[in-house]
Amino acid sequence: MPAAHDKPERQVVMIIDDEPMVIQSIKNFLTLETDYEVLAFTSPLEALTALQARPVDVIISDYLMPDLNGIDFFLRAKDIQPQATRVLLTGYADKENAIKAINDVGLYQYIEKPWENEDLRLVIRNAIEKRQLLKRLEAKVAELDQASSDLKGLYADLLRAFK
Amino acid sequence: MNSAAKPPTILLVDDDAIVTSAIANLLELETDYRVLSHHNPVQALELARREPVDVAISDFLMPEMDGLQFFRELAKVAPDVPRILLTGYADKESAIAAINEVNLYQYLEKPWDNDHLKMVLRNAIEHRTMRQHLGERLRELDLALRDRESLRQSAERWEQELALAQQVQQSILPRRLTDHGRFRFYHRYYPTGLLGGDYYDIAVRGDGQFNAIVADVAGHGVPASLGTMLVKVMFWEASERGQCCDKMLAEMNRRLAAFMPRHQFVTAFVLNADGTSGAVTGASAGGPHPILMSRDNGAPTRLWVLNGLPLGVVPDSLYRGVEREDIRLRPGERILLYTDGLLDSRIDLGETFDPRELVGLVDSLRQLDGEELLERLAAARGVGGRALPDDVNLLLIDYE
Repeated sequence: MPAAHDKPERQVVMIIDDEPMVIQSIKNFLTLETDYEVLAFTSPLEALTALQARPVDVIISDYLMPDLNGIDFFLRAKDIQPQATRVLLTGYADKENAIKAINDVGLYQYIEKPWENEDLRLVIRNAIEKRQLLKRLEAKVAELDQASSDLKGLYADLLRAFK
Repeated sequence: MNSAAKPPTILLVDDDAIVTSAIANLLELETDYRVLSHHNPVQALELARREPVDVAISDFLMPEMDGLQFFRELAKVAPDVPRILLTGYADKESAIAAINEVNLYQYLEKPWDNDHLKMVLRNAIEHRTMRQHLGERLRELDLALRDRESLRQSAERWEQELALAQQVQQSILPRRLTDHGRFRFYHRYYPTGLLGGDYYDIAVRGDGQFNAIVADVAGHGVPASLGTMLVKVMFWEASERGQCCDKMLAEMNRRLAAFMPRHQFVTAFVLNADGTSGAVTGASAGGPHPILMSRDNGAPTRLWVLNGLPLGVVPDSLYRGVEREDIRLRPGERILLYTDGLLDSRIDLGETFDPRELVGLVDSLRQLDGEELLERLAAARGVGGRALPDDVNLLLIDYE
């Protein structure tokens, strides 16, 4: 079983913001400057539907949106894909909420608007690295389980032979 | 997520004492991190050589060396420590340029926001911890794979040795039993593993008589199969001397008690018969009682009850009590010898078998031809097609 880092697969970043301008600017920056695959949504409900369909590595969501705020959106996204790293975009006014939500929704990081692209790039890079580390850890734990059950099986075979 | 019981250690370097005490105070008040503050990067490097740290925070502009230089040096000492750079507005560009070059985890612009600093630190520590976990898992995996490999190799070696042992053992068991005089022999042996711990044999003596034995060495596997070889040797030596039954068992006990490990013992039933007259002598050393029956509605089917202690348990001086009995068979009568595996063949299914029930079962089969009788008996006791809890060993002796 190859570990996640053995085969370079494109990382998937999902962005949700009700303002098309914000979506466009993040998408342009990431498409130009990184190798990530970008999935952009102006509706958090559509984004939830998309999360049912395919795995993503990082989810970046705005806080203030008409039909669902970013924290409630993350609560539901966490149910669908607990492994995806969650990053919240906040205005200065809702930073307090973001800080409260860190533990409630398992927020990886918040970024204040207006953000700097370099900051965003670094946060996404680290968020993806966290996701990769988790994947690799899970893979290794699974391999360990396999190896130890192999060992148990071999022991049992040996014991049977000597019974 | 920190696996170590001790709190994460933060190495903090800034030539400005106001900065170091502000951050140190914040972290001491609001986190459980241990903070090691330094105003001089050279001394901070000295410390990092001596003490493990989990995260490093450094100012950019310092007199002895700048933050990037400090991180380059630190990477030689502690390569896996996440590095966070504090920058003024003016040197942010240089910091961004250095992100990949010194593999910066994050930069923080002065004046920093305390909540933001705590969040970045929390994540940096989590990264560090996950990396450590991953390293540990990889090492464990390495060990497990090595263990698996060496176990595989030993398993292979053992399998070869077991196969050899199996060959040797099969060679000590008679391939087929040759009828003798008016006696016909039928036999079935179902070992529970590769190696059985049961033994059966017929030894025709020089005087026209023959000895028969069914024995069960306690336990399974290699030790039990080695035990069967000893029993064979003793059985043949005694038979060649024209000896049988109670004397043979007493002699076997004497020799086995001398070098059998504790808790190991042998049960056996031996008999001696004259090939023509039907005179039979039997003696028992703790095995199950044989069954006497007649093919043609003569004598009732019954247990041949003889008592005796198992072999190899008590020393020769205490070994009494091997009962011997002489009987005379009439044509059509038969003796079934078996080991207790036949009674226990379904013990793993929660069913034990009373010898009296066995008598009933055998009685219903007593008119069958020898081969068929054994087949049906084994099938009725669930032998064949599944792993047995104990060896099943059947020897049927027909007098015609």
